[in-house]
Amino acid sequence: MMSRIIIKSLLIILVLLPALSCKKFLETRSQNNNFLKTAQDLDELLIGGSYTPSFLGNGHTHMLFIMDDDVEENPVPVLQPFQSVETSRFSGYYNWQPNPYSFSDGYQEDNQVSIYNKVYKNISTVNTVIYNVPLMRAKGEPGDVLTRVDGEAHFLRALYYFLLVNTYGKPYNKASANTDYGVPLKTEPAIEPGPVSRASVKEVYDQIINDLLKAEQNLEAFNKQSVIRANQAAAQALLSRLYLYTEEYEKAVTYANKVMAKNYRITNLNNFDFTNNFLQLRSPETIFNMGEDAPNFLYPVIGPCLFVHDLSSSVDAYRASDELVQSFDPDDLRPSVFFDLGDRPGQLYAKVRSFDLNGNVSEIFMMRIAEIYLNKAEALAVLGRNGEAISTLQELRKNRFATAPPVPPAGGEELVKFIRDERRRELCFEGHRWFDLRRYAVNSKYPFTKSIRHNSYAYNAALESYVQGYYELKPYSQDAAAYVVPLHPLEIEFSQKTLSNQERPARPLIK
Amino acid sequence: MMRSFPSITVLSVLFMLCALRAVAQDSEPKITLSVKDQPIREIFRVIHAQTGLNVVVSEKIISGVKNITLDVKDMPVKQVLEQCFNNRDLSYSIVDGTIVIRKKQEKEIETISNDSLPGFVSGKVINSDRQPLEGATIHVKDKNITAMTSSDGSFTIMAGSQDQLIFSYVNYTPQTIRIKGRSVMNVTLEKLVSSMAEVIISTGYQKIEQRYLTGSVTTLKMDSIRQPGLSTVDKMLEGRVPGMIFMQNSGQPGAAPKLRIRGTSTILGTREPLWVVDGIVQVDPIPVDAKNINNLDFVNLVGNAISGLNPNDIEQIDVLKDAAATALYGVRAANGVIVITTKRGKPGPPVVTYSVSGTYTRRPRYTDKEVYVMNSLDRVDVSRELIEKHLKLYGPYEAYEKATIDYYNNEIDFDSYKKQVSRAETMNTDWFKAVTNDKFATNHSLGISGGTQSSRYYASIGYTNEQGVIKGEYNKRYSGQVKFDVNHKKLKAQFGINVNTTQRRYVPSDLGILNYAYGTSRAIPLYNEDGSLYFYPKGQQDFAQKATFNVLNEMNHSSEDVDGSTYTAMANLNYQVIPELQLEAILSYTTANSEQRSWFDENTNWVYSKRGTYPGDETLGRDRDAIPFGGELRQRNNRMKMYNVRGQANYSHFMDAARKHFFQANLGGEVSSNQNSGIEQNRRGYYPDRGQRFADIDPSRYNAYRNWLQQAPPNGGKIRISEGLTHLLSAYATATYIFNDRYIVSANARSDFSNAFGDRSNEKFLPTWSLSARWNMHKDLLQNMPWINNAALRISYGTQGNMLPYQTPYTIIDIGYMNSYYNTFGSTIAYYPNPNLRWEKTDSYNAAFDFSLFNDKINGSVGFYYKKTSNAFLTTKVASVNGIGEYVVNGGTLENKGMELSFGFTPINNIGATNKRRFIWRIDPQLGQVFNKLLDNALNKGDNRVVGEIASALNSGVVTYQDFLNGSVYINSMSVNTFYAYRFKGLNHNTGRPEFYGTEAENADALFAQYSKMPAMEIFRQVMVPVGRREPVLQGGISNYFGYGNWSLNFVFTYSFGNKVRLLRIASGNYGSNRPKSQENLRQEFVNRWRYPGDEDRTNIPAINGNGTDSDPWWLEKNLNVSIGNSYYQMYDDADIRVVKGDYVKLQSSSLNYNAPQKFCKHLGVKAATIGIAGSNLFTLANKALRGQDPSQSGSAPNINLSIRPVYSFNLNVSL
Repeated sequence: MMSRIIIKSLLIILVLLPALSCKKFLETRSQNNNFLKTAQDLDELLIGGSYTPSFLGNGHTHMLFIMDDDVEENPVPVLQPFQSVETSRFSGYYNWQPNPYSFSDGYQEDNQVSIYNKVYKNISTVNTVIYNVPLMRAKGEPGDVLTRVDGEAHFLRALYYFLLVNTYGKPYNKASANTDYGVPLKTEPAIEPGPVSRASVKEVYDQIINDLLKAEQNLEAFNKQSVIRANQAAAQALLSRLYLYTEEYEKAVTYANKVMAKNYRITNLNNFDFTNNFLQLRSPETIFNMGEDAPNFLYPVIGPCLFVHDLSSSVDAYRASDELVQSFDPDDLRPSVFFDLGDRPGQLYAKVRSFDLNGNVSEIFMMRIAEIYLNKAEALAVLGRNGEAISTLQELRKNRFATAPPVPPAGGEELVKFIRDERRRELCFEGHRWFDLRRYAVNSKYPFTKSIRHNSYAYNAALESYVQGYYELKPYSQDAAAYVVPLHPLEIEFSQKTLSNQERPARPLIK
Repeated sequence: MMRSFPSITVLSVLFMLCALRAVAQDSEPKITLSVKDQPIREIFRVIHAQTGLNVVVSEKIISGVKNITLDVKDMPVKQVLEQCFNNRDLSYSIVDGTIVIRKKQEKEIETISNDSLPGFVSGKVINSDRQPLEGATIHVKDKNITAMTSSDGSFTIMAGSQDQLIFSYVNYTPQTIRIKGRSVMNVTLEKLVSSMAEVIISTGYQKIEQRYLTGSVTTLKMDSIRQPGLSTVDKMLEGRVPGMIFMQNSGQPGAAPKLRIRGTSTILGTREPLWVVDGIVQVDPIPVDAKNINNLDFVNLVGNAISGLNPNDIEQIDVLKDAAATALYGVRAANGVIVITTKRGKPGPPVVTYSVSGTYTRRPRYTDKEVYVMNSLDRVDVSRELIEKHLKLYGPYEAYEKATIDYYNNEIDFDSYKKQVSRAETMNTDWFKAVTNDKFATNHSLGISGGTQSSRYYASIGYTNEQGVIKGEYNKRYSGQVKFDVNHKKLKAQFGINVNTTQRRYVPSDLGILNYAYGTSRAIPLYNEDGSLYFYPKGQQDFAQKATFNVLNEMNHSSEDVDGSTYTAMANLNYQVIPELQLEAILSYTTANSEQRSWFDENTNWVYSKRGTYPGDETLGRDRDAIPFGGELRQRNNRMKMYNVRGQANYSHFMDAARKHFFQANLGGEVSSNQNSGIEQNRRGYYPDRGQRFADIDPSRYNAYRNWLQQAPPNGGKIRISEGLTHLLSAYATATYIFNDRYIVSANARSDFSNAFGDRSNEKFLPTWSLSARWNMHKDLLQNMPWINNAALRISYGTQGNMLPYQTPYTIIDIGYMNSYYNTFGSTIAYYPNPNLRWEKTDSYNAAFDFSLFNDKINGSVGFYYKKTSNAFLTTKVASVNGIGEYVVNGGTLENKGMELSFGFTPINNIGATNKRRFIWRIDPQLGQVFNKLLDNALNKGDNRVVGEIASALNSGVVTYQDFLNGSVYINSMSVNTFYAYRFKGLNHNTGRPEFYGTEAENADALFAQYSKMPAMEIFRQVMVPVGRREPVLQGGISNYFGYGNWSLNFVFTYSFGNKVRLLRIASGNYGSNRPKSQENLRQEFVNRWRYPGDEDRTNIPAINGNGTDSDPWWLEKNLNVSIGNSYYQMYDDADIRVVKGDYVKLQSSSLNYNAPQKFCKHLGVKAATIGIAGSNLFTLANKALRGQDPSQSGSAPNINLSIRPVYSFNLNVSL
C-alpha cells in the first residue's frame, strides 16, 4: 500500500515537474532575432537599415550621372582579335531609351538592385522606427533618445523621397504639381499586399517638407558635432534645397542663412594640396554625409559602366564632357582639383582620388556648405535681390580662384543663369546636375532647357573607334517622358491597373 | 480470439494495445483476479491478458475440467496455476513465454498402454534458418501425450507407429506429420510471416497488434527487404510501401533519396517524412532548408537522419501514413513517419552472427546506351563544318580548331597540320575511364545476442564501405550498437548505446566531374605524347589564358570530405504499478558532430580562374586577384546535442465482468531539446601540402581578395557561426475502446509548445487529433465462413494545423554587428508584422479493407485516402514599396488522394514432411497512387492579375520562364510540380535553327506588340504547354520469394508511372551546339543534324550555330520586358519534343541464397551458414525514347548526375 502511495506521488511530480519549469523552458530564443523592445533597438534600426553606409554600392546610381550633360562616353580600345565589343550595359540610360533595364546584350537588370527597391527598403525601416517612437514613449523608454531617433528618421525619410521623386517622378512644377505624377507614398510600416499607385508630386513634396520640419525641430539638441548622423543643419540645408525646388525663395534664403550661421567654412583651394581628395568627411565644408561610395566612383562608376564580356575587366567608360570642362574660367582652380587626365584623351572625375583612411564619402548623399551658398544666391537672384546674390556667390568663388574671381552679371536672367552655371561647375558629379536640369526646365520665372547629345562609338575593321552618330535628348517641353526614369517593368506588371510609366519613345541613332 | 487447430487450443492474446508487456515476459509475473464458477479457459485468458504468457492446452483437457472459483491478488502465476490445478489431474510447465498444460504423467502412460504398438519417437525441431527451436510442443494427435523440445531442439515422445504428431511453436505454423513407423523425425517449422494476427506494429509511442490497428501503417520486417548492396535502409524501401513515392536522383555513394508519403501537402515546408528510431525522433545531421530539400534537382550528399544507421541492426520498419497513425507526433508528422525498431537480444545461449558482403559497382562507359556522345571523328567533323561555313568560333581553341588556326597563321606547316588533324580525329580520349572506375568494396557486420528471460543483450559492430565509381569517392561507415534488456519484478528496462561514424569523400561539386566527362571533346588528349599530363586553357573568358586545366590534375589537387559521428544513449523504463496501470519512461541523449571540408590547392585551374585576368600582374592584376597565393579551404562544422524525456502512463481495463468491453488509454508528456551550433569559414592562401598552412595575405594590397573577405559564406570569406536551441514540450493522449474484439474505436490527440522564436503555436492552442475505428468483420458478419481468416474495415479522420515561425503580428529584428563606420551597433528588420496569417490546416481521411483468405494464402489490403490542405502557405509578391519582395499568406488549397493496394499470395507452399522437396513461392504485389492537385490558389483568382502574384518556391517572388520549365509554379487545378515546355514547330529552312509556336521570328513585330501588353504569366502560357508532372503518380513493387530445399531466390520488381522527364540536354547547357567551343563535345544526335536547306524534312536535330546568324531570340533584341527564353537552343532542349514519359519497371533487387546443410555446418563448427549473391538496380525497362537515359536522370537538372549504378554483391552470413 505504502509503495503505491509513493508511486502515485512520484507520478504527480513527474507530470508537474515539466509544467513548473515549463515557462522558462519555453522562453523563446533565437540566435539573432528579437522583437522591438527598447529605444536602443530603434536606434540600431537606424544604423542597420536606415542609414546605409554602403548604400547603393556597385554603381546603381550610375544612371543619375550618365543621363545629364556632364558626361560622355569614352571610346574603348579593343583588346584582342575575335573579341566583340559590347556597348555599355548602361546605354539604355545613357541614350534615354524606353526600357533602360533591358541591356543591349539581352541581360535584364534585376529589379531588386534598382534605386527604387533599395530606397523603399530603407523607407520601410524608417517607417517602422517612426511608428514605434510613440509606442516606446508610452512604455517609458528614455525620451531624449526617442526624440533624436525620431528626428533622424524623419530626416532620412525626407532625403529618400527627395531622391525617389526626382528620379521616378515629374519635376516640381508649381502650376501642376497637384496633378503631376510622383512616386508611391508609403509612410506606414504595415505591408500593403495589394497594388500601389503614385501620389502627386505635390503630395510627395509636402510629405518631405513636413518630415524635414519635424526633423529640424527634434534634432535641435543632437548630433551637432557629427557629419555622419543627421543633425539640424542637415535638415535645414535640405530644406533650403527643397524650397528652391518648390520656388519658395524667401524660405530657401531663410534656411540657407540658418545653416550658414553654423560653423561650416568653405575650403580655400589656394591652400589646397591637389593630390588630396577634394570631398572629405573631415572637410570644414561637410554638413552631412551618408555612405562611402565615392572612391569606387573612380573605378566602378565612371569606370566599369562598360563591360567587356568579363565583368572584372573594366575601362573608364565615361569621362567629363568637354562642355563641362571648358566652362571653367582659366583662373579657376577647380578643374585641376576636380579632374584628372585619363589614359585616353579626356578628363576623368577626380573629386575623390584615393581611399581615405579617415572615412570615405558618398557620391550622392553628401551635403556641403558650398551648395548652401549657391542655393541662397540663386534664391536671392530670382527674388531680384541682386547685390546680396552676387556677394553670396563671390564669397564662394573667392575660395575657388587663384586671382580675384571675375564679376558676375548684374542681375536678371543673366545672373540667374550665371549662378546656375556656377552651380554646375561647383557641384558636378555630386548628384545635382540631372535634378537641376529638370528643375530649370519647369521653373516658372526663368525656365531653361537645352538639348543634350550623347555620342555613340563604333569600331572599324582595324578595331579603331569612330563616332557613328549621336542620340539626342530634346528640351523638356518636347521630350518630357525622357526626363523621368521609368519604373522597372516588374513593378508595372505587379500593379498593372494602378501604376504606369509615361511612355517613352524609342530614340534613334542620328548619323 | 481463439485460434483452433485440431484438438489444440492456443488461447492467444488480446488486449494489448500497449503491449510492451505482451512482448516481454516476466520471470515472476503476478496475477490479480476474481472469478466465480467460471470455466478454466477464462482463467487462462486472464493470465494471458495480464502476463502475456501464451497458454497451450488441448481442448480435451479443458472440456473435462470443472468450473473454477478463485480470488487472488498480486499472486505469482505459478501459485495461481497451482491453486487452479489443485485437486485436478493437471500439471503445467512454463517455457519461453508459453504455459503448457497437460494431464499428470501417470495418466498419460495409462492411456498409451491401450495402444497396440507403443514406442518412442525422437528428433529435432528447427526453423527455416536452421536454428533449433527450444520449447516447441509435440503432441500426439487424439491422445493426451505432449512433449517439449530441449535447448538444442531435440525431443523424445512416446507414440504409436501409426499416430500423427503435431508440432507447434509460438509464431510458427504448426505441422501435423504421420509417424509411419519412423523412430527419428526432424522437423522444420516455418515462421508465420504473413499472418496478420502475429504482427505487432510499433508507432514509437505504442505497440499495437495489427488486428486492433485503426490507422494506416505499412509494416516491413527487415529480413524481408534487406539488400546487401545498399548501405542505408531508405533505399531498400523502394517499391515496398504503397503510397510512398521514391525518387533517387543520383547514383553517388551516400546520396539520399527523396521520399514522399501520400503526396505533397505543403508548399513552403519540407516534404520529407519524419524518421523515428526506437521511439526517438531523428534529426538531419546537417540542417538543409526546405527550399533545397524539396528541390527535385538537389542532390543530398550530406545524408539524412538515418544515414548512420546500419541496416543489419534493424528489426522492423513501420511506415505511418494517415493521421490516425501519426497524430501522436503532432505537426512534425505532416509528411508521414517512418518508425524503425532496432534489434534486441533473444533469450538463449549466445549467438554470434557474422556477415560479410562484397559489392561490385560498374562505372559508366561510352558504350553505355545512356552515354550518347560523339567520338572524336564526329566531333572533328563538326569543327570542319564550322570552319568550312566560315562560322564564328568561340572560346579557346583546341584540337582541330587549334591546328587550323595555327596553320592559317603560318605557325605550323601543312604536314604537321595534317598530322595534328589526324591525331585529333583518332584521339578518342576516354574521359569516363579517366575519371571513373569500377569498384569493389566489402562490408562487415558482427553481432552477438543472448541472455536469459530476465536479462538479454544484443551487441553489434559494422563496417560499410561504399565506393563510388567516380575516382576517389567513397562513403565509409563504422557503427556499433549495444542493447541490454532487464526484467526485474515489476520493472522492465532497456538500455542502449549506439555509435556511428561516417567518412565520405567526393570530388568537389564545383568540378562537375560527370558534366566534364559527358561534355568534353574526345579530340582533346588527356596525356601528352611523352606521357605527361596535357594541360589546356579552359573557361568562358576570352582573355589569353594559361593552359592550366587537366582533369586528373584538378581531381588530384582537390577534395571534398564530409565526416560525421553520432553517439546516442537511451533507456526505456517500464513499471507495472497495478495490473491496470503501467508507467513508462524513455530517456535519450544524442550528440552528433559533422565536418565538411572542401579544398582546392594552388595548382588547379579552379584557383587560377579566380585569380583574375592578369594574375601576377602588379598593376592590373593585384586589384583583381582574389586568390593571390595558395588555394582555398572551405570548412563547415556542425555540432548537435539532443535530449528527449518522455513519461507515459498506460491504463487498460475491462469494464464489465463478462469481459466484453475493454478500455485502454495512454497519457503522456514529452520534453525534447535540440541544440545546434555550427561554424562556417572559408580561407584562402591554403597550402595543404605545406603542413596545411596559410599564406599571409595583406588585404589592403589585393582589392578583389578584400572584397571576397567581406562576403558571407558559403562563397565569401566571412566567418559565420550559427546557433540554434529548440525546446519542445508536448502532451498527448490516446484512448481506445474495444467491444468484444469486434469493434474498435480510437482517438489520439497531441499538442506541442515550443520555444521557436515567434512561433504562434504558443499563443493559440490547436491540437493535432484524430478519430479512427475498425470493424473486425471476420469475428462478426463473416464468422461462419471458414475460408476467411481475417476481414476488417478501417476508417480514420484526422487534422493537423501548422504555423510558420517568425510570422507574428510584431516586427522582428535581426540583431546586427558593430558598424565600424558609425561606431555603434546596427540592426535590420528581419520580418515585418504579419497579423492576418491563419493556420495551415490539413484534413485527412482514410478508409481501408484488410483481408486474409484460405489460411493466409491470399491476403491483402485495399485502401483509399484523401488529404486536403486548406489555407496553405504561399509566398506572394508584394510591391517593392513595402521594402520586401515577398510575403507569406494563406493562399491555396491542396488536395492529395489516392488508392493503395497491397497483396500477398502464396500460390505454392509445400513445406512438407521432409526437408528435401519443400518448395514455396510467395508473391507480394504492391501499388500506391498519389494524385496531387492544387485545387485553388486564392492568389490566382479574381481579375486577370495573375502575374507575379504567384511566387515560385525557388525564385524570389518573380515568375520567370525557368519556373515554368522546371515546374515550380503553382497553378490552379494542376498538380504540384507540373512543368511546361515550348511547342516545337520545326527547323528553319534557311538556317536550320529550331522554331517554336508563338515565338516565330517572322512575326516578331506583331508578337512584340501583342506580348508587350501581356503579363508574363500569360505570355508563358501562350508559348508553353503543360507537359506533365515531375513526381510519379503511381509506384509500387512486386516481390517474389521462391524457396526450395536449402535454396531461396528473391527478386523485386519496382515500377513507377505517371511522371515525365526531360531528355538530357543536347543543344544547350553542358553541350555547346549553339556556339560549340572546340573543347565541348556534342551529343551523338548531332551527327544527324541539319546541314543544308532541305534537311529539315528529314531531321529534327537543329544546325550547329543556327547557320552563323546570331541565335539571340528577337525578344532580347527588341527589349521585350519579359524574357521568354535564353536562346533558341535552350528552348529546343526545353521543347515538348524533348519530354518523354518517365515510366519504368526495374529489377530493383535480386538475390539467391543457399543455407548450408546442418551436417556441413557441424563440420565447420558453426550453427548455421548462408551464402548468397545479390544484385541491386540490375536493369530498367523504360520508354524507348529515353534512349538509355536513366529515368532518374533529368534534363531539368543543372548538372548531369551520375545515374543509379547497378551493384552486384555476394554475401556470407555465419552464426556461431
